[in-house]
Amino acid sequence: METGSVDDVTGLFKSLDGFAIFEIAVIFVFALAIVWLTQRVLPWVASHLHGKRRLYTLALVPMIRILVLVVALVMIMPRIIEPTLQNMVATLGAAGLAIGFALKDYVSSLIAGVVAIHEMPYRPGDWIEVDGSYGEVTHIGMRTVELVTNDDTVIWVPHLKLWDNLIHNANNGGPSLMCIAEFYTQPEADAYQIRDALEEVALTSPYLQLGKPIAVTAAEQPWGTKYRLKAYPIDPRQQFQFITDMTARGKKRLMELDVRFAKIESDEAYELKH
Amino acid sequence: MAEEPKKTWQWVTVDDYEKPAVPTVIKVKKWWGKFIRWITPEQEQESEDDQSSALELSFDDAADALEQCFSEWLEDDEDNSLRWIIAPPHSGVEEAVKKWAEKHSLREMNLPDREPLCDPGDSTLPEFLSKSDDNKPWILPQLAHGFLRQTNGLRWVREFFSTVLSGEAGKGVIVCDSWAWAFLEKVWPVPVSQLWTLQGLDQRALEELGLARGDGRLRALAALSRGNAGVAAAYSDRYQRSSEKPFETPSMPSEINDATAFVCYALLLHRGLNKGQLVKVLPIISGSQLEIQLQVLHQRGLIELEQELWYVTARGYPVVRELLASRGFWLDRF
Repeated sequence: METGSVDDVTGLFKSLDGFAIFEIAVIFVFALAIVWLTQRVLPWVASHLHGKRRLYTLALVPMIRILVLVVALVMIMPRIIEPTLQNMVATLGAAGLAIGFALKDYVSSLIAGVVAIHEMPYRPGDWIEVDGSYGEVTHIGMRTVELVTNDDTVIWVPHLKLWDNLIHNANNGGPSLMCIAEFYTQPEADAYQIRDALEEVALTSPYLQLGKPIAVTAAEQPWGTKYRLKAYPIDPRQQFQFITDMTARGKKRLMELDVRFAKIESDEAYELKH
Repeated sequence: MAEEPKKTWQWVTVDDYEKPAVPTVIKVKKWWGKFIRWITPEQEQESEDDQSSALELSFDDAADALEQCFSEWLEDDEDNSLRWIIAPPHSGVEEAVKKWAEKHSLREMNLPDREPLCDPGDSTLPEFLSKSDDNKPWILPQLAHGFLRQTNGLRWVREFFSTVLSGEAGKGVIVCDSWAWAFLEKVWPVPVSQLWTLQGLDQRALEELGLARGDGRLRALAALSRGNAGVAAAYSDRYQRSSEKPFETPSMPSEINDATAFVCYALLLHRGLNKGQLVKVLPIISGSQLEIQLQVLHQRGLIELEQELWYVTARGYPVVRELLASRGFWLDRF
């Protein structure tokens, strides 16, 4: 009986001769070479492009990688295992057991990586926020997604986060990313005059994407009025410069109009006064 | 009935404007050229021969064609409508319209001074037409010179649209650069009828003007110039010296950043700016950085200084337009 079980298990696998090993090695190396090449060439090509063309080129990287790896796996498997139903069930069962105990998180990240490529909650070139970290997706790996923040810090986020975290995607695969510059004024200021002035500020910014709308909203706060100037830059990578430009020129324009800004005193200063 | 042969200079409405087709071979060659530029080190500076001046074109025939096109409207005293003429830089439209306007002694509308235009303290704007003028039709030679893309710099142009579109200013012709027009359509988004332009020059027209010879050269020149007479003329001179060489466009600097694109776009949008105006329009770029960009672009033959204003050159225009298109800027429709 025991001998029979061992025979059953060994019967799953083909006897690998030197040529089969060579074939597997060639497929493996070839697949890795294609993946390596696409991970270098496509980002380089994308760095010379802008807008949609850049984003589409970057999105090809993880797609090509998963495609190449699946094809390589399909080509390698019949060279190792006799492809019968019984053998496949036995192999997958054993693999499932090993994964379930030892490599749960790792494999979960890998599977989430595949889901991420299919559902595309983030693509290279997108600006996303996960767990309070905001940055541009520069690379989608098998297990992690690589973000670069505005301060040039690289953050690796496991795809695992996809299952139970909120992913905030600011541009969702397109070149349009809304930027908001905020202004705080004293409540007596004329809201419509401020709205017109701020709209003009956005319209005259060199970063503005002219085909997109400009909006100004106002909300009353206990200390004054908060204005939010919303507009889109030409390229999502310009978002911080665009907000800086709108803030600097917006402040200057409001000062020209004699608008007084709201100031909140610190608790210490308030206590000293009273 | 046989179709009337197409004229070299033809005024059409903007919707009827046709760009010469770009054959696939030329597109592929262009992509190949770009690829080679990426992988090869910086090309040497162009030789003196390459800096040759453009062939001078006469726009008398274009002015005559405009005469035929607008004569009925001009003579009709009951018709107080406006005519808008929109054209890309270097297309020769301004010259043709100027000749036509001089012939009819049209009144010239006053443009504001650009310097005080952005001054927040200066609330007075110049009157569009002098009070002493009679009710003769008027002309505005370049609307692009009536604004600066700055927080206070659009006041005059808004006032202008409000006045002329309400009919208060009477009958007139407005000439506007195509880049400025694309922007002004966002500033004053009221659909305007009677938008006119010069039809793009096709291969036949280029041959008739003596700008190129041979099917291949004509096709290539038409595609490169996008039917723009001034651009075609700027490249034709080179063709006559060495007919076998492909058209060599000026190259962009290897280090292009937002500042490079902003300077190019601002110069096209305002149809030329001086350094002080550029500082006002692009305050996000430091003065020294602006100076550097101007010098680098000038060295490449992409911009030139003429009567204290910086302009995009005719030879540099196709390159600059392509740069702005690739970076997602709001383009003109030509």
